Amino acid sequence: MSEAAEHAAHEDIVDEHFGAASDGKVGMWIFLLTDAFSFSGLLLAYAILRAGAQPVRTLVEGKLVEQSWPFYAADGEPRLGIGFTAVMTFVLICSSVTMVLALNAAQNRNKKGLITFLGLTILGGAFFLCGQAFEYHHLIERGLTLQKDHMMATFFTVTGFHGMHVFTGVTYLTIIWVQCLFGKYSKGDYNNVEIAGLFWHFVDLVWILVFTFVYLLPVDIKELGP
Amino acid sequence: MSSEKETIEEHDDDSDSEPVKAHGHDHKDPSLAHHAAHGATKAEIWRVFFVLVVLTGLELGVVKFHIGKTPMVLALVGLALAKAYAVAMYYMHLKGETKIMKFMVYLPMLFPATYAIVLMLEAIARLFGHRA
Repeated sequence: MSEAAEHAAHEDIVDEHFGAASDGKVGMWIFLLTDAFSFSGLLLAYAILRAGAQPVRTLVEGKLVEQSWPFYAADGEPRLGIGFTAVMTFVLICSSVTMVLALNAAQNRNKKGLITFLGLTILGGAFFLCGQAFEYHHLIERGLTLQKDHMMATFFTVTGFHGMHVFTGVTYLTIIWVQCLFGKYSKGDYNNVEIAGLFWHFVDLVWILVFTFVYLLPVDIKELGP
Repeated sequence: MSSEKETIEEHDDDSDSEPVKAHGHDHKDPSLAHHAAHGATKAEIWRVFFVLVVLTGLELGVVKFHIGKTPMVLALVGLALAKAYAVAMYYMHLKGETKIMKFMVYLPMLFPATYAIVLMLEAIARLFGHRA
């Protein structure tokens, strides 16, 4: 046996960092890849449906407009509120920042900082969920349900699938947070916080893409005149 | 005594909460170089945040100020990918991981990327190809 291996055998090491990344980290990355495939499938399906959609003509503020994807509803209002969603996007990005700061605190064995920043991350996620629920309620009230047309079906599917990830993430982080309250993860054993952070950043990353492709990209209208 | 309690607590927890022992040495010595390999500095964190906010602002600007359909699409896709890259590289710390780990993430994502490109080319060819 090599000297290092002998040394390792003597020390009775819990070898959770064999190589450079722990098992948990590699496992989480692989899971995130499978999740990325799921979201890619949904977003590509959305793109295909949108490309094949017939142009829709609606009256918007007295003007006739033609859209490839009915961004404006029959009542003339835009279906999706971009300003409101921009705030939600900003909150999610902020929660990603607090997550990294929480990991940073854990790495520096700062228990108080870890609990604070992780708590803020959870609050950010919860705020996002509330915003999503509010948006859904508002849309359904206007009759824009999942059954309405292609656009709403893909909208609710994609954002709903993502919202489910946010909910799972909030639950996951809360469990970690409660463990932190009991002193875990602030003694140099920050691996589980890092892994939870990977999931949370993935949730944020997906939202960045969803926000762009589902909310921002469809905003193309061709005015046809009064 | 409080110090006794501390030791007992440490041993009662499962192996995960014991001071991490890896690479054959105890992590109790705060070697900054080692930590740098495993985490982002605070300055880096805020810098990336600033970049993300700016990119988001640009995205909203592109939508608000009508710059034409094709430039808008290209700009939005580019900005979104840039943001995704920033989050993956710095917040998920992919930049500090080993080469093989990065490979493990990039390689599978080539599949959806290829599919997306093929779909776009097909759509362009189908919609605009006949007007040659």
